[in-house]
Amino acid sequence: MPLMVIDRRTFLHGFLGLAGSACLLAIGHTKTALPLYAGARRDQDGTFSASLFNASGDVQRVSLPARGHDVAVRPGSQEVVVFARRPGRFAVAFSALKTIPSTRFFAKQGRHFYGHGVFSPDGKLLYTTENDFDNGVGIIGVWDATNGYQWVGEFSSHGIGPHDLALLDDGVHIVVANGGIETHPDMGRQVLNLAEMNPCLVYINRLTADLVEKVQLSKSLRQLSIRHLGVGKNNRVVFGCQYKGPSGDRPQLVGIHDRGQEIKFIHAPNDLLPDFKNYIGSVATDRSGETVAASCPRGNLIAFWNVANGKFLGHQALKDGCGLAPTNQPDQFLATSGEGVMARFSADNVTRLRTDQVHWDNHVTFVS
Amino acid sequence: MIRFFIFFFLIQTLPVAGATNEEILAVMARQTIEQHIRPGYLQLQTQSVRLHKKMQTLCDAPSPANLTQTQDQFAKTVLAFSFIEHIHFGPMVDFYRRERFAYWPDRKGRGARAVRKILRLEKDQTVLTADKLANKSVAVQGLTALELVLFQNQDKLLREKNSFPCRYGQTIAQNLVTIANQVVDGWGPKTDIVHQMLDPKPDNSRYRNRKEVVQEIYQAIVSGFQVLHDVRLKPVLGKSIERPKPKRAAFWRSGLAIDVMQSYLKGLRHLVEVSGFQNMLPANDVDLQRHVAMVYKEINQGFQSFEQENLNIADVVSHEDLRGVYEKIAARITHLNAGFARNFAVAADLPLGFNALDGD
Repeated sequence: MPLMVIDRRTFLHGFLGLAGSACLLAIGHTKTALPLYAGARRDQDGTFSASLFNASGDVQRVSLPARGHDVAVRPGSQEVVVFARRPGRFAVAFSALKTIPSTRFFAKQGRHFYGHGVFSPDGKLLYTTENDFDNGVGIIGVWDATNGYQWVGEFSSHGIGPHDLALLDDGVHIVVANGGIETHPDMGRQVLNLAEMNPCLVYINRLTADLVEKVQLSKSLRQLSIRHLGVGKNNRVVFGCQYKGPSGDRPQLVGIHDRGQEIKFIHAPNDLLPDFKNYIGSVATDRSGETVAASCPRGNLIAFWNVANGKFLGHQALKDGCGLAPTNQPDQFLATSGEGVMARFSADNVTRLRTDQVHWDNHVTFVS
Repeated sequence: MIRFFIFFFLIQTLPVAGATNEEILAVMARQTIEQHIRPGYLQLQTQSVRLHKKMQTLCDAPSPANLTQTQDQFAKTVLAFSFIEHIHFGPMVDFYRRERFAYWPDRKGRGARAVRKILRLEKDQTVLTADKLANKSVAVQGLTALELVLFQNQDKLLREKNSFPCRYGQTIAQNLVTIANQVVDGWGPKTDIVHQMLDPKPDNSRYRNRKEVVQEIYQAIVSGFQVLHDVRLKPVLGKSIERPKPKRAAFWRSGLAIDVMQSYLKGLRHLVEVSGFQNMLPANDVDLQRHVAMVYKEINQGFQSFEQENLNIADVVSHEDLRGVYEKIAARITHLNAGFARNFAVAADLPLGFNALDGD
């Protein structure tokens, strides 16, 4: 596309906030059976929603008051909870079963959600990453899913700016990515502690709230914010980072951690690393837990590694691609993009499924 | 293909009509560096050097007149910093220079507490040596620390020659000169960042093509306007007129809060204009040109109305009518940014990623 002049209508269109993407062209649908997924998005009319969907389209859709972020799946049901993007305070539980009404709940006063949550294995409790913004500390909120998502308690995330969290397969320990970035809703999304960032990965016993293990990055990487998590085979935790340091730096952005060990970074090729633009938007492990995918929406690509040995497997292009979730097939992922694309990806293959006139948000989640 | 009317400014700057996209992007990068970034940091360097001299004079000959002159020079330095503060890439970002130059926002007052402790105890000799000060907390070595020295310690500054607070202030000013020198040098013609911005190559670590360079400039504009609204103006309003938060404004202690907001906007507007983005608005569309000019004018008139009455930020956000003007300024800044953000990206064919721009 050539550079172009802005005509008045286009310019005012942007001013009025009515802009839709000019690039949302359907590329044809492939009627392939998809399992059920969930994701948040901005719709064509500029409003926000979350949806449970399969290959045929939406199974259930719920309107959101503002932009959503990630979705947590309640085990043993087709119910999910979508969270507000930070610094939002709302969350909405809804089900694929149309007979079950949605439930909206809000972070406590003085807290906002970071956009991620995880359920206990029995589906009774929901754990959410939250910001106690007046005190500048991270919180894990606990909500009773059996009682309309009543707030039942909270405990420390043992760090600042908890973002993603995941449950290990013992069902007891949760791993939390404390991104290390302090923000306050009164200051928008401004980083308040750039010079004092201290990201960490922590393991917490969800039953006792005890800190079990805390691992930090080296001092030279203190501006490398740990943001998103996946759990691979043998509880190997895979994480993706966003670098807040000088833009000329090119640190590795994807790492792995085994309990009791040091953090290790798995390497992308040096000639590809600049294309990551210091920004991983989402991380997911495949069904087998042996392959990890990381999306780089600023770099318009998705990269793949072997979880066990850290070997780089390849990358695929997807413009503004960010959402990643496992499919029923090993080594394969469903990916969604801000341009409405939905496709199946592996390190060596891409199958475009559909393109809708929506902007899929950062994450997509496998439901069943 | 470039349409003949695309870039009005290129008619004046490019030697050959029918410039390619690559040439247009190259001009945008060059003009940004040569007409905005370098002059901006040179001005900051000049003002910092003057500030250091004024501090020396004040320490050697403390007097109310010298203090006033030093405070005036402090204001000029702060405004020079605000003008170029939106440049979020390059040497000012390296080694925490930006935070060291001015530690703000200091939401919990941790930085101010640390500075006050130094001033109260007058024992920490490490703050009197520039090299050592540079290695201390970012909160105690920049403009925000100097503001406390100059505007909340006047009696101590005037009590004797070379008092501890004055020497501390002098050392801060020396540190500012050092940082400004480093940044000016860092934007020199043979530096890596300039080389990569002007001649991006696929194997570069920072910019691999010209579009990435212009994307960086675009981000500085869009995030700058967003910061101006979200971080500079809006927090000061507080939850209601009964509960305004004037101390959330940058440099409120020195009474510079409104001037700083204006300077920040001036810097952004200058970048929009000299980078070439402004010229993407068609010169022949009178209504559109008039619209943008009108928005700027409204904002400036609002700020000027505060200035004419010699109002400080606390007056503005706690008075109903003035607060209304202030809220309109904030709304107009958001309005401008919405227009610029989408349309500049479209015009320059930059990615307008839903997830990429300000993701999570």
